[in-house]
Amino acid sequence: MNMKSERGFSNGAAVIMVLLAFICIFPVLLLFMSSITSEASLLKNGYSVFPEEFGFDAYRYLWMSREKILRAYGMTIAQTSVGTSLSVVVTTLLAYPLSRKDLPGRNVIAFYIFFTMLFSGGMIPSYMMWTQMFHIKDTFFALIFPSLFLSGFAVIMMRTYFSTNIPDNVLEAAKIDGASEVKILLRIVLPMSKPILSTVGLMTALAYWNDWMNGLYYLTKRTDLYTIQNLLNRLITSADFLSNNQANSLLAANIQVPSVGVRMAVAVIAILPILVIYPFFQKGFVKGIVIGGVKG
Amino acid sequence: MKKNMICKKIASVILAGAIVLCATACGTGAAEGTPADEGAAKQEQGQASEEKEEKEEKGQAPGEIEKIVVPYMLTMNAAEERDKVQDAINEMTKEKLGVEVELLCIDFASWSDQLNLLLTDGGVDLFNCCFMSPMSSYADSGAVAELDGLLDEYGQGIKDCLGDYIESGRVGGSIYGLPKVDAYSNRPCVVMDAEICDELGITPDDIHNFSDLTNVALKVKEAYPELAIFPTGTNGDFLGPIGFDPLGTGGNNIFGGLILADNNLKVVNVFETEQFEEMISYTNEWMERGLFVNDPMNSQDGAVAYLSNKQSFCYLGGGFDPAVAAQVQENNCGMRLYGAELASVNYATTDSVSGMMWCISSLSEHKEAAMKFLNALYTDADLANLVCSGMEGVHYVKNDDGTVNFAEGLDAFTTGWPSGMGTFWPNITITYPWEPNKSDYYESWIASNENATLSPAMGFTFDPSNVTDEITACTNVVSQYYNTIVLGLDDTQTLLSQFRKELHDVGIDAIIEEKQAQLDAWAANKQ
Repeated sequence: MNMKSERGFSNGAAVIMVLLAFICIFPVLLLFMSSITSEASLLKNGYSVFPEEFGFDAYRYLWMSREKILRAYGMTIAQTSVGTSLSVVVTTLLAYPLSRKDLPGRNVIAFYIFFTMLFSGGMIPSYMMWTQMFHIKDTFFALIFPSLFLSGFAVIMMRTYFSTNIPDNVLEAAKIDGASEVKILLRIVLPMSKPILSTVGLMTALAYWNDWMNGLYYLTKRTDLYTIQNLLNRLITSADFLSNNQANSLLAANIQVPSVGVRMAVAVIAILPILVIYPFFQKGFVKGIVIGGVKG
Repeated sequence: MKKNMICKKIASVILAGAIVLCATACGTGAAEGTPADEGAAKQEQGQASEEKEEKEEKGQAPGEIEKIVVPYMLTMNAAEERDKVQDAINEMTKEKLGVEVELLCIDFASWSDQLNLLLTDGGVDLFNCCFMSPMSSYADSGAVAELDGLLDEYGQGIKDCLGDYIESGRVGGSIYGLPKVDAYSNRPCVVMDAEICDELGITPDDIHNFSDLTNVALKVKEAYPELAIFPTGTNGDFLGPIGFDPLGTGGNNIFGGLILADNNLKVVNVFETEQFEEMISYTNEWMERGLFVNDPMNSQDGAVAYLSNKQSFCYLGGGFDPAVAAQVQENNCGMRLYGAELASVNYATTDSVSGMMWCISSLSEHKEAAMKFLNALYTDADLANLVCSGMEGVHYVKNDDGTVNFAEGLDAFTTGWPSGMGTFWPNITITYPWEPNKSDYYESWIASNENATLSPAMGFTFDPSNVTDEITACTNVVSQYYNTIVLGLDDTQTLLSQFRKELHDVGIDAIIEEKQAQLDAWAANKQ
């Protein structure tokens, strides 16, 4: 009886999960198939998983910029790894003291961080601050700094994790054993916080990977520093511009820019690496969210 | 103990990783220096030394050579030989004008964001206010400088070039922007696949209005039942034949304007005119007879793409001459095209003139120099050729008939200076036309300006600041109803009366009143 109902449940669950998985996979499949559909049948029939006619013009158009795309990938990887490491370090160093009950004024600081989640300074003031006080314009740091301290959400999440999952007794015991504060953080707290570290790390890494605002605002002359998102954005808008404003330009060459298909091909190129690395992070990600979320 | 070990390991791996990544990140620039990189590095050095020079010069003779920054919009082509062209420009301008120019190449993708930001910190001096907010809003916020005084002193050439069209840059009492020299007027036209026309015996002379076009479309549909006739695109395409002046609002605000055929200064609600009703009766008929592309509500991609991929017979557009509109597209579509008119008069309105306005940033410290350079761009053919087409022999070569083409071995992608963007600069009409245009191509532009019918409100620019809320509300209503009504996807008559009522409810009358009041004040001032 018990066995039977369990089996029924697991069969039902399997069906539902297959459906859900299909819902998740379908858009990606459609995206990929559209990217290898010819422009003419895209215009005629719209996007379809079973294209009437295949065409690789979109990828051919991107292939013309392959060197730039590779270079931009390099920039994105550099931005993501440097940015993520720095950001996790900064977030931890901010969240850990806040989780300690003996920090004076911790509520004021916590509120200050919380406040930035609701209100930001706005684009132009932050642009002026970064360009006129810190002079990061047209440097690699432009890709890193503006989003480094912005994740108030991650700080709060991490603080909650520290204060709920790391008993005060453990810290006290370490203190009695003669550990310094630095040692407590490095040897006791961090090893106990791997799930939250990998969660925050993954969230930050995704944010850096997808970031294109910084490149858009702060890279004017050094377009060689463009990340993949900036470059792909540039390729799409150029294709759109050319297909819509041809009357305006005198491009005396038969350039057929496949603007509809390019959007899809660009999206495929942009998500590919994420698809590849995601499974490696997934375990820690799920655990971190569950533990941090439920008990927080 | 074990935990400690693991923690140590993790910490050391993270640290080592961070160090390695930092090192590689810093190293990439130097180690893998691509040409672009070296160019950028040189450019920086160049700037540094130029700054030094500037300082020295300021010490000796203040203001002798002033340096201005002029942004240039790039699409596709990365302008890799920017430094060369810039040096060539400076060779000319330093001596003649005492102005040194830095060209700041910005991608179309980031053009409007970057320029808006650069305007806040004085990063540009002279710029083309295109693909950004309308020039009048920059004038309102004080981001661009008044040009009247500068024009009198340094801009005689510009005044001669533009004639009365200079008025389109007036906001309130002063001139803030200068339109580029262009074919200012246009009329609605249809560009068609010439092969099909020839086969079915259709000539451009058969078409002069929507009614003729409908007949032709039905004929084509009969011969090619599979082919869609009309692609759908932006809203403006169908409004063109109405002959409507939206009063200098940059196409964002079509609520209230003049019916040009009436030739008076009465602001009307375009959605309540006979002309609009006539237009939708045609488009509804087209829909009924299946002349549109599949799923028109979701097919908002560039109309031209349908034609060039042979997925439609024609598209509706505009131009100062239908034949020229078709000819320009021929190069891009790679097929023969015919252009036919949908109205017989070329109208010039503030909107058709002020698509690209040249402005000087109000934070610029070198406004005189910027105006001197701008004046040269309008009048000096050598300089205009240089910015529009690049350097002779390097980027282009002259043909015998006075046109130019790419230098040997170059095309639109490989050339070091973008050649297709000449219309960005103030005066392309004094440059050599590019193949396959004829040598008198630009003369036909100028000629069209002389034959154009000016809107009675030519030069008037509406200031929307008092009615921004109403405009937003009306825009929402239009996006809710417009396409459904035009395409006749539902009961058009019911929807139309609902649409009109809702527009009244959200305040279209306030916009029209405001427009009328400003227009009357403008007209009274003018006399």
